[in-house]
Amino acid sequence: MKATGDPLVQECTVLCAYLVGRPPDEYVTRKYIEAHHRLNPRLGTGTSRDPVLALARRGTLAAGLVDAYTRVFRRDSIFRRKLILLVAILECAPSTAAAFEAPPFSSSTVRVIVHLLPPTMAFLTRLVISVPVVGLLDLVSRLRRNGGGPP
Amino acid sequence: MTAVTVVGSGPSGVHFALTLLGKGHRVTLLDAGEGSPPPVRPEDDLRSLKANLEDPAQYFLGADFESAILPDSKGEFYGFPPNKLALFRRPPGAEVRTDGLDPLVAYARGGLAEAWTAGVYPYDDADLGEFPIDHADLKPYYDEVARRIGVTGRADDLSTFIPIHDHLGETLDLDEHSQLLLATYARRRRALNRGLGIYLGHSRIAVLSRDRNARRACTYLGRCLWGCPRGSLYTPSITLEECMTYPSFRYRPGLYVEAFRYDRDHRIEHVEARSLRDGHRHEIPVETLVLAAGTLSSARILLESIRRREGRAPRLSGLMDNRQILIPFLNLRRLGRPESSDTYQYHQLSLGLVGDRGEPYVHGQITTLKTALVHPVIERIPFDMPAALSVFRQSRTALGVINVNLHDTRRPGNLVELGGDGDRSALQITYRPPDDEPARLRRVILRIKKALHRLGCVVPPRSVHVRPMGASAHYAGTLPMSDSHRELTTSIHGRSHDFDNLYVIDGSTFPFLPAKNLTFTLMANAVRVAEEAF
Repeated sequence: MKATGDPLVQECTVLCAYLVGRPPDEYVTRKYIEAHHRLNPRLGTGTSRDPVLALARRGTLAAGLVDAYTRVFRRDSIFRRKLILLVAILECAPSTAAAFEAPPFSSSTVRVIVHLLPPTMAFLTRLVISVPVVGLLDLVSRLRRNGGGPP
Repeated sequence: MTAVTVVGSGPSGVHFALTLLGKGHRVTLLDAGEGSPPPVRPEDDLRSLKANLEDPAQYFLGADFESAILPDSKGEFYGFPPNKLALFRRPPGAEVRTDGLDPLVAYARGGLAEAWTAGVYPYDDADLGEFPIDHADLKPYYDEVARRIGVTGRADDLSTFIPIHDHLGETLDLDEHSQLLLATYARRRRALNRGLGIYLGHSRIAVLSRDRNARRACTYLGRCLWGCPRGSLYTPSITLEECMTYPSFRYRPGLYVEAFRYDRDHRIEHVEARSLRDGHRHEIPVETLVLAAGTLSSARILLESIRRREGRAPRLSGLMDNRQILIPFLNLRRLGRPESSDTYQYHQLSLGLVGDRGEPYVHGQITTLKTALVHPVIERIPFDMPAALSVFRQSRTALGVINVNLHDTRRPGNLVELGGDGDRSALQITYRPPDDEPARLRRVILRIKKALHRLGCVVPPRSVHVRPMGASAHYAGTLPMSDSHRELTTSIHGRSHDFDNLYVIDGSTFPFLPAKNLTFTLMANAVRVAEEAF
């Protein structure tokens, strides 16, 4: 399914590429949209103008920043619920289930550490960058909500 | 020949019924539940199911995604599979108000044990200290139930606490992680036994390792949680099917028993039931009534019956439940190791803790991570997703969780009573843990962490989850069996001291709740009552 103007489709496309390195197939997109209908309001409405979500939809780099920030500071945020929901769908979907059952890289402790070092460093880098960028948007988002502005 | 009416098709009800049928009695079984749909693609393993089902997300996560564990889910590590959620759907009129214990109550055919993890652990004399019976009284019935359901296990260090019984089948093949834990334990046995009072051994599980009649041996499909499609993992509906082969057995599904009606001499005459299919009310005459609906549902029937006749109902005190703690661990020597997905999914090892400071035995079931939905695990890894997925891939076969059960005692403030107004009564549950529970939990968690350390494992920081009361679904104690003839108790054969022709054979009659899963004892006790009192 092509990324259309539908923010949920766009969101699914970006997050899927971020998680498994390729865009979602029609089944994954359909289940993602369906879940938003079923789990509303836990996942928001999908047309939310939340600036943090809007940033995440811009691309995989931005999604990575939002992921790093919310993992540390906003674990219960709507973004994380959406992200984990998509992981749940992807691990069930025929096209992507294998990505969650891949064998380990190596049984050598040294090689394991070597393999885990780059993603860990990348996470720390994203976290450092995300604090001023995503943190500011998060603050705006919270002020809007507290001030009774649009969600 | 006695005509007996049994309410409930859980483990107690079906084994009681089967025993009576074997003795030539007539049995009518009233059951709120309906049958489950047949298993999908019974030859597929978990991986093939994902590839072959038309809508795998609906099968694994549910039509409403109710089995997806999102970050706002309340600390649970996994969700009930969608195909088992129907077990807990409450019929109209079964309202429950809770304070301190949020119960799981099954209204489906086979009861709560349709969703169990098949742990079968006979009680020893220490467990039965507050019962008016001892292990020798139950032993022949443990043997009989083991013959009926098929139990695998072996004599090992845990046999000190878990008595050996007859008909113990050969154990299933251990997965590689469980093999490593057991081998490490063998090397460090002395320090673990003497230093920490901790013992490790094979779980006793109601799973077939050899074909048996229509049931087939476990072939390691890795889909136990979603319901064994081969009948290898025992559930009460298997025994219910056996009951149906007797011409003197009458099964009436879809009937929700609300109450019984009794005369001035407290002799029960009728059962009042409502059809869940069409709402039609039934008045069913009874000679002897046997409540096997589970502690909470049996309590509701008894209290509602008294309320309808006397205008108000008493309170039942002494409700018990096992507190459960989930302790995840990472076995450092399993990092990066491959694992076959063709394994038994549930626990294969158990852990026993000798009680310290005069406390009773504590029991734990060790489940190593094999096949499962993994999004709740990935969510807990303290990195962003790309890093978390890498860490998970490397550590998947090193992960496990110990489900620890603690004993419970009858205390007067833990109540089951009827609330609500007029005809709209609701079951009101009040539960408070003992005052010393936090200290007890801390001591148990600390000992298990030390034991895991000696087994080469670490417990990730802040990962231990003390489950809320009610989560274990091991409810008991509201109509305890007793030698003395007191109101709202039963005889040692479950015969009510308040109603002449009423028997209670579920967990209601337990005067103490040991840490071991109670289901095997529920079945053995039901057979004992059927053999000795009828």
